[in-house]
Parts: sequence; structure tokens; C-alpha cells
Amino acid sequence: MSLLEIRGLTVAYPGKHGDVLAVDGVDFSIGKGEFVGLAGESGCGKTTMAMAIPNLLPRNARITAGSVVFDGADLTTMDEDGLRTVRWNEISVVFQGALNALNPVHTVGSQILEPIRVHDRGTSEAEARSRMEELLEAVGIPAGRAGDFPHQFSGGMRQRVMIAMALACRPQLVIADEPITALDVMTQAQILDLLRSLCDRYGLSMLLISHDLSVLAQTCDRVAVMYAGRIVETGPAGRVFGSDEHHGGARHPYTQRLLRAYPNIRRERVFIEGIPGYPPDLTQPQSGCRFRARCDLAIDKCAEEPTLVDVGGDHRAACWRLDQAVTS
Amino acid sequence: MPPLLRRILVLLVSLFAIVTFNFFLFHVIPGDPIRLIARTQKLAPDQVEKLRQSFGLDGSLIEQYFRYLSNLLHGDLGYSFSLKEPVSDVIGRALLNTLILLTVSTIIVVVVGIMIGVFAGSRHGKKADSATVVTSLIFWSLPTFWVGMLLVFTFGVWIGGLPISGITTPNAVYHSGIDYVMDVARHLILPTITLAIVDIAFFIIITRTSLVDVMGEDYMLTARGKGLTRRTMVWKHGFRNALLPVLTASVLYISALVAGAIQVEVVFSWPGMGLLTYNSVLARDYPVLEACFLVTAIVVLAANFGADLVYRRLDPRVAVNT
Ligand SMILES: Nc1ncnc2c1ncn2[C@@H]1O[C@H](COP(=O)(O)OP(=O)(O)O)[C@@H](O)[C@H]1O
Ligand SMILES: [Mg+2]
Repeated sequence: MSLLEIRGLTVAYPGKHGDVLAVDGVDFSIGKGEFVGLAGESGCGKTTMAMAIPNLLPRNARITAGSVVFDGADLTTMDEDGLRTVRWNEISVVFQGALNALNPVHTVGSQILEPIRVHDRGTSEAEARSRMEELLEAVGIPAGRAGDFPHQFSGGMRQRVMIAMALACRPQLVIADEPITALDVMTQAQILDLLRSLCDRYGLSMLLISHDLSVLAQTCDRVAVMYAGRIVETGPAGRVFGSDEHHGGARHPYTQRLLRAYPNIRRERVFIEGIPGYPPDLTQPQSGCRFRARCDLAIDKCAEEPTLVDVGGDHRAACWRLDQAVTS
Repeated sequence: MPPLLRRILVLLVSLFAIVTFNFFLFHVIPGDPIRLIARTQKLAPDQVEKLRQSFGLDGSLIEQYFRYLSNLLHGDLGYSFSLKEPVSDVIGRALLNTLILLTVSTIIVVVVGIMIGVFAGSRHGKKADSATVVTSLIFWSLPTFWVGMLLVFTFGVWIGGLPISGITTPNAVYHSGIDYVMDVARHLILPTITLAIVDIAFFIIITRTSLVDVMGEDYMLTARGKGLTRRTMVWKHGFRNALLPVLTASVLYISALVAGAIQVEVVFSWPGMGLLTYNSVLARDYPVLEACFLVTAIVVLAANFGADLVYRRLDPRVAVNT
């Protein structure tokens, strides 16, 4: 049994011309101790899906269908009191745009202490403090800086504080939403290594979101690729990214395009190939494969809804042209 | 230089500028007050000269200025010719009465304004919020003078029961200190309501708007994600940040508060700085008027300074950067 089981999740935002389905019938799961990556162009619904898990969606969002079963309980039907005990205690988040995710008027130490005091009532003041200092040290910040305010830290340091904070209550799942996007390349690599090692050390599960596949390729056990509110391909990172020699790599034309679209974080690629066309407008009703308008391989059949098909070894893709896509 | 020392230095320089400006305002612009008195009272030339001396208006302007500074340092503000009393005594009493009125109403305005402002701001977009905003806007647009007259009419003529004039009941005999305080408190009610009603509306709007902005910040999502209760979220994370713009706006509002106090004092015959200023204008009592201007300017300056100190304590970013 997985730690997290998302089934048929659909999240709608009200739009000018009817609902925008930012997440449209998604199935997704994360196992205990698993490090899962979620990729896709910006606006495809990654943040919406992630925030739907601990039910931290914006006020105008509605979960219209599906379930989010975490540790045996469905979070979509849980009341606010119940959710409060799950949030941070079981599922913590390193938020997108994390440079402002720390409160400017409180010291970083007190912000890390806060969830410990709220969720671990039995912890003594001294214990809580020593745990906070230990966490700071674990992310590479001297414990002596606990009394400093967020503006006294660089972007990378603030992100480290966020990570320390996310681990404060020893959650089972950490959701990291584009945790490195705002940072420079050197810092990005450090933060990724840090996330990976901390998760291994504490035995946490992690959902790492990025629009950059190369980031996920190095860190994740498993990845999922999202396009226009749906998951179009998912599988073990080694298979999807083709680092396992015998398994061909990405099967969905969109994933293949994405892989060519980004430079590798370590070996800078010379040619960066964009994906022709625009991401689909989610406000318009969609049918069939949503990528077909931008896809070189599209045929008439693509107007029908493709489903995720197993291509071997828990690697699945939703495409009618899987036979063609292999060689393209 | 330590920031606090620099700020105090700036304060002293501003103070000096105000004193100087005030001096020249009264000694250059309104012509010769002595001639005015002489004309109305038909005085002989030697008497005029003596009068001129007693008001410190003899000698060159520069001489007068330095004498004025020296007198000021000795707490000598001159002599009121309408009240036949040293100006410092007159000002001392009036200032105390005004401070009582302003302190009581400011506390009420801040506490009530912030409570209601946070109530509305944390319910952004709901009915309770829009109702509060509309009501506040209506109250904010009420002229202070008019509200005062309305209350005077209601409680003086119509219902009765609350004193509408002065700070104590004339010819009252008090059996104890408590009696006296209660009498003053009863006299405070209507002026305070008048002054507070408009200012509370201002505070509600500013607090509410500021909180609504803050609630959309990334760190508020963090607070929610941490599993905090709404109360902790709103007060510990939201309000603490929303307070900063409120404080900035309040500083700008200090002068409006002083203007409001003058109107209220006139309407309710509250013997404070406002009423004193008003009466001195009518009596052309320049020494008193000059002192009133000076004291009012100093009070506003001091309030600004105080607000600035509070701001520095509340916002760690400002505290470190300067
Ligand atoms: N609060 C919101 N109100 C309305 N639409 C939203 C809101 N948040 C996101 N959306 C829309 O939902 C879609 C998915 O957004 P998001 O989940 O943020 O994508 P991603 O994280 O992949 O960039 C986008 O089309 C976006 O415009
Ligand atoms: Mg996003």
C-alpha cells in the first residue's frame, strides 16, 4: 500500500468561459520513502495538483472529483480540524516562490520552532530548541543564526531554512514545489543534493516539482510528466530518461520534446530546442490527446482520449503513436 | 553614528526650524500687534513703548529673535493680554486637557479600529467584510464638526443626560477624588465619541486593506500549510505584518487628528489647546497664539518621532538597514 494514493483527482478554477480544469482526472501515487518527480511546462497544473494533497488550494479552487488517500484517510473529505493535524506534521511543503515564504517579522528560529510547538505538544522548550538547532545545522546553517531575520539571508540560505522548517515535525511526505527555480545554478545543485540526502537520512517520501526534467533525472526514483492537467507519462526515472541503456527512454512525444528543450544542469547543452506551438488554453474544452496540436506524429486517432499504457517495467505513457515515438 | 542618536539629532534640528519659522511667522507677517492694541485702547506713546518692551517687541528683529530663544529656554512664553496670565500657565492647563482627550480617544480608536479592521480583513470578500467597509466609508466621510453638533443636539436638547460642554460641572462640590474623576469622565464621553467615530472608520479601512494585502503573501500560505489555527495565522503572521502600513498611515493622520481635536474642543467647549487657539484668534492674543502653534507643532513632531521608534521595533528590516 502506498503512502499516498490519488485517484481521478479533478480540480477546477472558475474562469470567464466556464471552469478551468487545472487537474483533470489524475491518478498518482507515492510509496513510502519514494522520491517522485513531477514535470511539465508552467501552467500545466503541477502546483494545483500538489496543493490539492494537503488541501492548501486557493480559495477559488474546487476539488470536483476524485480522492487523495494519505495513510489510509481521504484528505479531500477531511474537515479543517483534521487537516490541521495532517499539515506539516505528516505532509509539509517547500513552497514555490519560497523567497517570500518566510515571514519577514519573525526570526528564522522561531519560524522553525512554531510547527514543533503546534504539533508536538509533548516536546519541552529545551528539546524543541535543540531540535531546531540540529535542523539548521543539518541544512548547513550555523545554529547561531537562529535569531536572525529572513532578510539577513541569501536566497539559497532562505531555501535551506525552508527545508529545515519542512522537516521540523518529521513528516512522512515533503512536497517541494520548484524549490530551486529562483536560485543560481551552483546553489540549485547544492539544494537538490541536500533534499535528496535529507530524505534518505530521515526516510521521508518526497514529491519534487520542476519544469526542468534534467533536475528530476538526477534526483528522483520515479517521475511523472504532466501536460494540460493530465499525466501523459510516468515511470522509473532511469527508464523515462533513458539512462538505463536497454529501455529506450521517454516514450511520449511530449516528454521527448521536453527532454530536448532543457539544457542539462551539469553538462550545458549547446542547442536548446523549444517546443513549437503554445501550451493549450485550459479555458477551452479539451478532447482527445491535448498535445496533438503541437505533435509531429499526430493522426486522426489522436482526437480520441489516449489512456496510460504500460510499456514495460512500470513505465506507462498515454499516446496512440507509441510505436512511432520510440524512434523519433 | 548610532541610528537613534542620528534620529534625535534630526528631531532637534526640526524643532529648531519650527521655533524659528514660528517666530518669524508671528513677527514678520501679521503687522504690529502693539499698534493694534494701542489703537483700540488709545494709549500714550510712552505707554506703547512700555507695552512693546513687555511683549519683547522692542529692538531689531534679530535681537528679538535671540531674546525669544533665550526666554523659551527659560520656559517663558510671554504674557497673555486677554487672559492676564503668563502664557506658559495657560498653555500648561490647556495642553493637559487636550492630552486627556487625545489619549482616551486614540486608545479607543486604535483598539476598536484594529479589532474591526482585522475582523473584516480576515473575511475578505465575504458579506461581513463588505458591510464593514461600506459602513466605515460612510462614517469616515462625516465631518467631525457636524457629528459633534449632532451629538450636542441629541444629548443636550433632545435626550439629555450627558454633559455637552466643558470638562467639569460648573460649581460642583466634590466629596472625593473619585467624584472628580467621574465628573471629568462623564464630560469626556461625547467629545471622545465625536473624535473617535471618524478616526475609527479610518483605522478600520487602513487595517483591513493592509491585512487583505498581507493575507495574499506567500508566507501566509506557509502559515496555513503549517497547520496553524486561523487565529494564529491572522494575528501572529498576518496582523504583525499588516501593522506596518497601518503605522505609516497613522503618522500621516496625526495632523488630521489635531485638526479634529480643535473642532471637537470648540463644539464641546473643552478647555484644551484647540479651544485656546480658537479663542486666541478671536481675541487677537498673539503671544498665546504663537505658543499654541509652537506646542501643536512640537506635539505632532513628537508623535511622529514616537511612531518612527515603534516602526523600527516592529520591522526588523528597517531596524537593521538604518
Ligand atoms: N488561483 C487561481 N485562479 C484561477 N486559475 C488558476 C489559479 N491558480 C492557477 N490557475 C490556473 O490553473 C492552471 C494550472 O496552474 P498551476 O497549477 O499553477 O500550474 P504549474 O504549477 O504547473 O505552473 C493554469 O492555467 C493557471 O492559470
Ligand atoms: Mg507551479
